[in-house]
Amino acid sequence: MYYRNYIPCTANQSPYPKNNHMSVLCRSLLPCLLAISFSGFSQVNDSLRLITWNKKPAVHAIDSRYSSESAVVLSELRRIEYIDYEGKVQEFRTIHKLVHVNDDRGIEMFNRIYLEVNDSNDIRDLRARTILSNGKIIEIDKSRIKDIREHDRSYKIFAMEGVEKNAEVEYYYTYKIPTVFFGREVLQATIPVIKSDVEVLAPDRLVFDIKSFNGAEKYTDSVYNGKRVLKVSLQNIAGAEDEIYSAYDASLKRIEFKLSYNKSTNPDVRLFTWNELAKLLFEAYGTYTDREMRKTDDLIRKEHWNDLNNDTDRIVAVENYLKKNIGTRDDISGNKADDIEEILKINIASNRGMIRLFGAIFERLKLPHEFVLCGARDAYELDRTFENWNNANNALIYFPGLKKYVCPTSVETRYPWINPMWGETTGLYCKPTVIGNYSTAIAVIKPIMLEPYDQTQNNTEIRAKLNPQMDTLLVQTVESFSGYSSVYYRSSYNLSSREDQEQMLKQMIKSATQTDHIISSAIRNPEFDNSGKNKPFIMEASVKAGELVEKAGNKTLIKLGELIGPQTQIYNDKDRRFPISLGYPHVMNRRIALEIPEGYYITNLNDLNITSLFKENGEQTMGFVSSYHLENNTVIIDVIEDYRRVNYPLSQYPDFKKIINASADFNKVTLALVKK
Amino acid sequence: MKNKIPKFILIFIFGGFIHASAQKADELRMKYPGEQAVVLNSSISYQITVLEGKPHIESSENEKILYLSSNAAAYLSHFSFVHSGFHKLKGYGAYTETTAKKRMKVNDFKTYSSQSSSVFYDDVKETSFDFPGISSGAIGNLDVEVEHKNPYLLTPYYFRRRVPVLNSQLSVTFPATMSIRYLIRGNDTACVKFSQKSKKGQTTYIFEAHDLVREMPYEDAPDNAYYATHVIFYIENYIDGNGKTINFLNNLDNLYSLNYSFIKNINKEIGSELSNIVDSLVKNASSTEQKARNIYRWVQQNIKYVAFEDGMEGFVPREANDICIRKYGDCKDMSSILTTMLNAAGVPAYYTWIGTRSLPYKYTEVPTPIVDNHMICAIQIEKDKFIFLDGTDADCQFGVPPHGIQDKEALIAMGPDKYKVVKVPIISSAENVLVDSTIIQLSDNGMTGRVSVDMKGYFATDMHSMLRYTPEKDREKFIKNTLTRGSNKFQLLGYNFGEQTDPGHLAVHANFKLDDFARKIGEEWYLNLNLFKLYEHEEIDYPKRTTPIEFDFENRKTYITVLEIPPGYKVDYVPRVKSFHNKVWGFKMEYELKDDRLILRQEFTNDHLMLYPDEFEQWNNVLQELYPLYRESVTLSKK
Repeated sequence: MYYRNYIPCTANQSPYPKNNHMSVLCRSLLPCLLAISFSGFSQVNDSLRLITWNKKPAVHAIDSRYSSESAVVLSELRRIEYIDYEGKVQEFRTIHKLVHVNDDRGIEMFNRIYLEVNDSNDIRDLRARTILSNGKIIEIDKSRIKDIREHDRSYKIFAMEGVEKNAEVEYYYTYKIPTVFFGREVLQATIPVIKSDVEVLAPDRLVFDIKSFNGAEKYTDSVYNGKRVLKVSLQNIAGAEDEIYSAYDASLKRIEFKLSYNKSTNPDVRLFTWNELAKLLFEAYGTYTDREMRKTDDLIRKEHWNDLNNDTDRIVAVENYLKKNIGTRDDISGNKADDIEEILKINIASNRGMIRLFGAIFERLKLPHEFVLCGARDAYELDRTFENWNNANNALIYFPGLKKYVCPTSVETRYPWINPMWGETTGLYCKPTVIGNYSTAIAVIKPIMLEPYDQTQNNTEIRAKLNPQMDTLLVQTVESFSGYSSVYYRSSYNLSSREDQEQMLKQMIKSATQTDHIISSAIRNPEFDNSGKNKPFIMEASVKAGELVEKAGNKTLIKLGELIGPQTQIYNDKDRRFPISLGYPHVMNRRIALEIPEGYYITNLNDLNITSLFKENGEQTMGFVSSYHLENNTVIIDVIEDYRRVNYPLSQYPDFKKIINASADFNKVTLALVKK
Repeated sequence: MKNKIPKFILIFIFGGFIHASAQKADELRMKYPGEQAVVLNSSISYQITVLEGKPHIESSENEKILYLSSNAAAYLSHFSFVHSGFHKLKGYGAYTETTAKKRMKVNDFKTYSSQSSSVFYDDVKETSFDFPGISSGAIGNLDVEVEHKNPYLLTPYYFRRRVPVLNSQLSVTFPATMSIRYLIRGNDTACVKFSQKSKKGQTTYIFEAHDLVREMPYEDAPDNAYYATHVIFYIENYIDGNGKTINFLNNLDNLYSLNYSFIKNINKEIGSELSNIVDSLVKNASSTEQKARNIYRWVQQNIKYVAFEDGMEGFVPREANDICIRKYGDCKDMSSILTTMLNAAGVPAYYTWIGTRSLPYKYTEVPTPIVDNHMICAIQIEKDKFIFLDGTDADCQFGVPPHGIQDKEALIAMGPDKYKVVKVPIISSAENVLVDSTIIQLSDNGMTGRVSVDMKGYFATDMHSMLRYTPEKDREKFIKNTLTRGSNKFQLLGYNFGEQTDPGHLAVHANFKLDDFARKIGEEWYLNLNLFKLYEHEEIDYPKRTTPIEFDFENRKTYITVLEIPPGYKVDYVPRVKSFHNKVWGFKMEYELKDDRLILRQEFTNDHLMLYPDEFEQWNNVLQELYPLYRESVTLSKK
């Protein structure tokens, strides 16, 4: 099995929790969102529903089934409340949490509290206390609450006082957030939650939809003080740790909500539809000023993109030029960073600016393209029927003629190899259309396709023989990585210094041959522009691997299995919780040619035959097959492993495990060489 | 642990001074092939004056970076600098000089909190921006002007960066009536050129270095203060407006007075809650030492480490009574509550400052606040014999310092003008012992066995600490990962601990199954008894590497593998016995055939806390002797 995580250059190392109120993308569209009118305000300012906590709290007795947990969330309320205030709809979020702490780790999990807020001044209410088993209650003094601003997020942080084993930590707070009419609350965590409630309160005219994910909880709809209250209650949510080959965040229980109707304007017109988003996106990404167009034309002329033979060459050339010469990150913002003329001057772009620049160039090159928004398989995906705009967090450009994508904002990826976590999800395609002489777009919801599994290959060709002293294996290896696998290697290689490139090469060789005694090595096709034609990234090395040979008296043991590199071994599937999720579909073809020294034979060649395949409806979806044949004095071993899909259901986990473990079994194969 | 002296450093890979004759990018590309960028000039100049009788310090810093990577625009534009409440930013500005020799100014600066993982809250901030218009050959330029609000806290100047530096310079200008002391430290002090000039009653010290290669990071290296070339400078004394000589940091007495000012007003009274706790802890104690043990244990178990370091909060310990209620504190607070409780119980206890092993300095050499970063408590039960108690380590043995402060000088506060400097001992390898035994049985169903790991000293305290933070439900997985051997097919079949009450000792016993490790081919068994192959692939990159290697503690490790020979089988081949030691370290590896058992005994001893470059070759020589032994398997055949 082979799987690499994408490590974006702009990885955020924040230790703080993140509750995505609004996606980066949506924030860039904020001016558009605020333009949406919500008339029908009541004349009276609404009052916010605040928390009152138990005046005489006491520590709870905890069920013995939770005694081995570090801590247990006894109850958690998350309330989203929309109120009419001074002619505007304002949004507030309330969290009320009560936690029972069992051990030292539990104490350390909850004696420091980080509360995300929009702005440290927008707090309406915040109280926190520790309840001790002897009945003592210690409330946090407000003067001990500190403010932190970290990049685009603010936090209130404080330390809970007096926390000890069997104590309870309780806090609540209400804060104002920029009004957005959809949201997501993730309810499951690493520790169990006994009771979890989510409430969405809004003036009666605003009709929200609410949906639970990874569970089938129903919501109740009631009226409280003239306000609509949507409520979902969950009980006994198990603590869930991350699992190997799973999409952890995507698999956790969560609730999403969105505004669907405004009864006071037009009760039959659904709000925040995908069509509406497509229109906004087209506006944000696909419309340009004349000045911008002139600058775009200048660039096209300068780079001679019109002179290229075909669309693929043009896309590759445009992408390589832009990603080499212009930097973009999601923390870059501002009018200048959105404006094509400015971007071409300063070489820095907001994500929106970069998407616009790609769009403008493709438009002037008359290359049919559509802007696409999607979520991610390892986070949150778009749902066709439940239009939570927050989940449309990632942008692609789709070329309908080529049926392929480019990812404009990622410096690491190259056409058509997008971040594979965005593939096999549902996409919002903004299909351009013309109404009269007005250009706009309509939404088409359809899957984002990944390239076929056989286009991503991690192949190895090895020639190995023993040295005359028969204590070292001389190995010549050629490893090649194509498709999605090549992305990681190419970007790591190109975006680093020579020193780091050499370290990377050494690591690759050590992983492939178990040794650092390198005689010669080389990297072929590292350049980014090889991706367009899927020319593999190639590592070649010649090594002396004493590590692969063992002596046992007069016998020589060759640890041949280790030539496929370290392999994961999985145990204990009984507790497996989540379905299988892989980075991308791929195949590994390895061929090892081992020369047998004159006068010797191998006693256990049959150990090389391992087969484990899985078929669904007669079609192989994953498998591992190793086999050998002899050619004169050389044994040729073929090891083929493939994973043709990215998602496999939980029910197939035992079969998946067998295949993963088959490669781990092969990795342990040692051949015994004996004199004839 | 208290934070290091709040730093003023430019972070990210580049770290300022305009070099009048910037060399051409092409020449530098030839000179530094494959580098992403070079710092053309990095300089900081300090201007120290005396204002209203007190030192007043301002600095101007300049960084000039030449981008060399052809992908520079794509990922190297981001830049930042860090500052804290001890700094007043008086001004800053940045611009790019493009390859077309055009200046593009930076307008968008963002300042955010810059939190470190070990400190819960401090006032350190990071100001970041993007250099506009960069490309290969463009030059980024940053100027920062700062007022240093606390003249005791002058950050040492480091000459090198993670990219080559062409010119690096520190200058310090001060009145002739002031004395500034400096020390040049690091592996390569010869590269620093010192010069001095005097003008109009002002003296300027200039430290410069040129053509510095990039600094290589190594995970196992100590803090760069141990090897990176740097200048420590501080005010020794000066004459104030009234003509009076002020001894500022003239010697350790002055530093002690400063430190003492942080503690002189705390813990004047012990509250009833804390006092009751002390009483309950000592009422049945039979000796002074027992009282101290009980109190130390209570603090270890009840006060959690949470650090707030907002300005002077980073230096002044909090009241013991508050810490007792809050149940948390940082190192100073642990020192505060320990010292207060112990004294209340009649155990002579003293506030004590110390630099952890991340700082290489001695109080007598560098009597400035950069010498220490930590506070503990020292007690004296027997005359002239101090025991050091560190409240931040919940699993430390009484009487044994945490491994992070071994061999470091402690500054013990004995009174307003009285202190002692005492060295914390090194705990020798004979005390930190790990004995790991594996008994292997072979059958037609494969290989099973038993493991016993007996840990003493730091091995035990480290394990206690890991267990403390592993919840019950994750224990089995943790133990499996800890005991794993042979291959990733190691499976744990139950485990148990021995007695767990002694922090300095712990034993764990387990049964296991390990498939595909011993191989039966035909009628013969093949098995490599080296279940660990310790130090394999750990040769030091010698002679390239010039930074030392740091070890947590000196130690002795013994691994015993016992193969129970299956009935009807005999051992065909017993591998070589070998022992090899040189001046630096060594190992012993013995095979012994005894009755129906073949026993492999491996011993490794490491008597270093730090391994220096002149020892690297010998270290590697030992490995060269060791590796071939790992490639020997035993064979069993039918009798």
